[in-house]
Order: sequence, then C-alpha cells, then structure tokens
Amino acid sequence: MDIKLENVSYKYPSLSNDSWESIRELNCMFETGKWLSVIGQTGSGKSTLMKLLKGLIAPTAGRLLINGQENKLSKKGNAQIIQEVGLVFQYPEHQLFETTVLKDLAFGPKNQGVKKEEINDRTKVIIELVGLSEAYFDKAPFELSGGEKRRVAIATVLMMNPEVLILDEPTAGLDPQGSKLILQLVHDWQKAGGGQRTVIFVTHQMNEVAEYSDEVLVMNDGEIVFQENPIALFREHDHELKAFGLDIPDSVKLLKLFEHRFGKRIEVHSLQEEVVLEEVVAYFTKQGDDLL
Amino acid sequence: MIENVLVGQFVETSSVFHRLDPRSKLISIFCIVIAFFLIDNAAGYLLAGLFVFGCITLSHIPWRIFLKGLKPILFILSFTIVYHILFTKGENLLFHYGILSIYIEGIISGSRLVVRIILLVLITSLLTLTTKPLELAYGFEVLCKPLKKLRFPVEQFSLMLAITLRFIPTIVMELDKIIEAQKARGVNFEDKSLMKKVLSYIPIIVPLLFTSINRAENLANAIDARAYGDGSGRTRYKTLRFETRDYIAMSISLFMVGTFLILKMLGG
Repeated sequence: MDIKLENVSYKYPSLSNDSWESIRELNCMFETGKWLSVIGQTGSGKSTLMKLLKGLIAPTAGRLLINGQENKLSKKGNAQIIQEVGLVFQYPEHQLFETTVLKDLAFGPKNQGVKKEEINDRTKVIIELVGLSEAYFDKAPFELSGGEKRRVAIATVLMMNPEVLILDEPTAGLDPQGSKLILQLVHDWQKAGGGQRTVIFVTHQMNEVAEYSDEVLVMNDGEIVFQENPIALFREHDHELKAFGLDIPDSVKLLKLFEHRFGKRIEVHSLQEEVVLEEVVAYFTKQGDDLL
Repeated sequence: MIENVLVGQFVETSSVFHRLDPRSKLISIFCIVIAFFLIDNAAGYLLAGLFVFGCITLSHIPWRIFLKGLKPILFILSFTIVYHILFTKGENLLFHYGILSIYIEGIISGSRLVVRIILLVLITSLLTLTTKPLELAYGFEVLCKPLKKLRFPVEQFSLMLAITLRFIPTIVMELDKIIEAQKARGVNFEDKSLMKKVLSYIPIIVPLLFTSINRAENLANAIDARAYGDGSGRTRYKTLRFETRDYIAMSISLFMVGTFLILKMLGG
C-alpha cells in the first residue's frame, strides 16, 4: 500500500489565539515494502504525522492519498480510520484493558468484524511472532513484565493484519535486550509479508535507524528536511543533523573517525554495526597483507 | 476534548484580574455568586449581564474561550428550559394541545434560570482562567486557616485541591490519547445506540484508571522524596498581601450584593 502526502498541513485546535501549525505542507511518499524511519526533535511533528497516516485526524490542508485514492471524511465529517494501517502508540501497554491477553489480542479484529476461527488462527501465529507462547493467553496483561506487555500491545495491533505498521518510539523505556527483541519481531513480521508490508518507525535511537532503515525521513519544526537513504543522509549531512539537535549512529561515527585519521573513504552498503566493523577490519587486513 | 475543559486551565494575559490576590478573588466571586442568586427582575439580569460582560472584557481573555466553557453545560441548559416550559403553570396560557399547555410564565422562568446559570458559569470561569491553580489553593488555604482551630486539616485539603486542579488537564490529555489509541484499534464511537456507546467506553476507563493510579503513586513518591510532608507548617516563597486593588475588588463585589438586595426588595 502506497501512501502519499500532498502539501499536507495540520493545525491543532487550541484555546489561545496563537494556534500554530504542527506540520506544514508535507510532501512525501511511503512506498510499499520499505522500512522508513522518521527522526526529528521532540515537537517536530512526528506524532502528528503518524496520526494523520492512520486517519485519526484529517489534514487541515492538502491531500492524503492511499494507493492514489484520497481518504474521505466520515459521515459526520470527522477523520476516517484507515483500516490497513496499524498504529502502535508510545507506551502502547497503557491501552491494554482486558482480563486476559487472549481477549486483548482478539479486541481489534473483533471490532473489524473478523470471524472467530480466523481470530483464533491469528492469535496463535502472532503470539509466536512476538516471542511469547500460548501459555500467555490466560494471563492478565497487567501481571506481565514491562517488555512482555509491550510485545503483547504490539501483537494486538498486528492482530488486525495491517499492511502498513507505524511504530511511535516502540523501544522507549525498554532495556537494550528488550528493544532488540521488539525491533527483531517487527523485522520478522515485515519479512513474512513477502515485500508487501511497510514499516514506518519513529525513534530517537540513531543506531536503531542505521540497523533497519531503507529510507530516513528527517523532520524539523513541522517540515520534512530530508528524505534519503540512511547511508547518504548520515554520511553527508551529519552537520545539518547536529544543527537539528540530532545525532548520527555509532557506525557512522566510526567511519568518520576512520576517514579523519587515515584520509581514506570506505564505501559500505549498509550501516549495520557488524557490516561497518567488518569493512574496517577488512581494510586493515588488506593493508597488512600489502605491507607483507 | 481537552480544548472544551476549562477547569484548571489558566490563560496568561496581563489584566487586573491576574494581578489580584487569590483571596480577594475568592471572596469577590463568592459575594457575586450570592448576589446573582438574589436577582429576580429584569433590571437585575441586565445589570448582572453588563457586570459579567465588563469583567470578561477587562480580563483580556478572548470570549471564544468562555463560550467554549459553556459547551459542556449545553445539555443541562436545554433540559432546564424544556422542563420549565413544559411543567411551569401560570395564568397566561400561550399554547394548549391535549395535556400539553405552555404558559408564558414557564418560558420566562426557564429563560431566567438559564441566564442565571450562564452568568454563574462565566463569572466562576473567570476565577480559574485568571488564577493559577497553586495560587488558588494557597488563597483557599489562607482563607480557611481559622478552621484549623476546629481541627480541620486545612493544609492537606489545600494540597489535595491544588493537585486535583493541576491534574485535571493532564488526565483529560491522557484520556484523549487513550481514545485515539482505542480508535486505532477499531473502536467506533460514532453511530451507536446509547448502551453500545457506554460499553465502548470500557476500553478507555480501565486504562485511564490504571495510568491515573500509577501517576498518583509516582506523585506521592515524589512528594515524599522531597520531604514535603502533608503540607502543614510550610512557609512560602511568595506570600500573599492585599493591595489597594484588592480592597477595591472586594468593595465592588459587596456593593453588588447590596445593589441586588435593594433591587430585590424594591421588586418584591
């Protein structure tokens, strides 16, 4: 599912006169099958953008096109939820409310009118996908650990079988291992879709961006300032990113340090830490061989 | 939803109301509320309306904000007026059909009550819109100090009041967030029967209670961690002192009470 924004702006209703535009004239494209990361300082409009993409709010100006079709307003003139988009909010575990994990998992698809047997089948697949087991079905969501709750909360969204999964800081407040598990499960979910599943990932962790992204969208003060592949972005625009209050991934820092010390540029095809380390080690090994 | 809740929302402008001592504002508003209950004739309503209009204009807060605060009570207002029109009996019959008879007196008494409620809501919103919750609670605490002799826990009560006022907007914001999240999970709040509508709020109330209790626990820990205690015997950085303008404000309110009392006696 392709999502396209054309000159989209959004203004929050506000008490005082100076209601400002949270996002201004965005033009961008979210292509099917990609992992797109959205970075930007707090208050740069990321969360507003996510709500727009799910259809929780309607643009105050501009158009939101889904596979080329404009998203219409509901009968009452409100924004219309886009069923094919799954949105995982910040701290999604705060939305769990049922007495058992199973019931919470079934809640979304039930609202969509999915048949009982289908829901049953989905629960079994999804609970495994998020690294838990059927033994969790009868547990109360509130008695799980923080990381487990988070995974169940993400599972409740995956249960609705979205084509596009939006995650708003899904690793916030988790330990490194818990964060890794979450990202890995999202990655596995996307892989299982055969190129049809899109991930839109909001984060402040640049290492996470480097690890998974096909493309990075940088937001500043309600506008998109870059939409590029992560290698080009982090290697060429590190100064601009710093000016926007953003950092670069460790792997790029390593490459920069290397370039600075040896005056040599190493071309990499990915910013994953292992890949970059291997390239650097390979360079030195080759140097050593040449010397011998 | 947040933009419709006025309680606990402070709007910063530089008006005389903002500079008044919270105690004088509390006393004045108390007097004015009493005064408004004394109104029983057209002249009184006119005077009260002009008074409220003047106060709101002086506060430099846009009218829009006050009107938004009236939105949540629209239901009560329409119920009041319908009730009075249908059930108040009088002498001047306006309309009669079957068991339904509408009297002019009903329309008048209904409208009077509605106008009174609107005036009361407007004038009390002026208090919360121009006073920071903490100042309000402090003012309340100082005013209630004499009650301490009767072993009434004034400081604790004022702390409780301050926390409540301070957290209303926070909780409403949290509520908005949860509503959005459950909408994203397919809950439909539109086009439903009343029963279904009530049921659809369970996925909102449970998480809200849960996060609110968590928040309360964290707040209690934070209060303990700073050795705040229960608020008793604490001194303040900012102490309250009556200025000339405070005496003027309170005199005006007392004058209002007097005027309405006279108007009532003259009318009666």
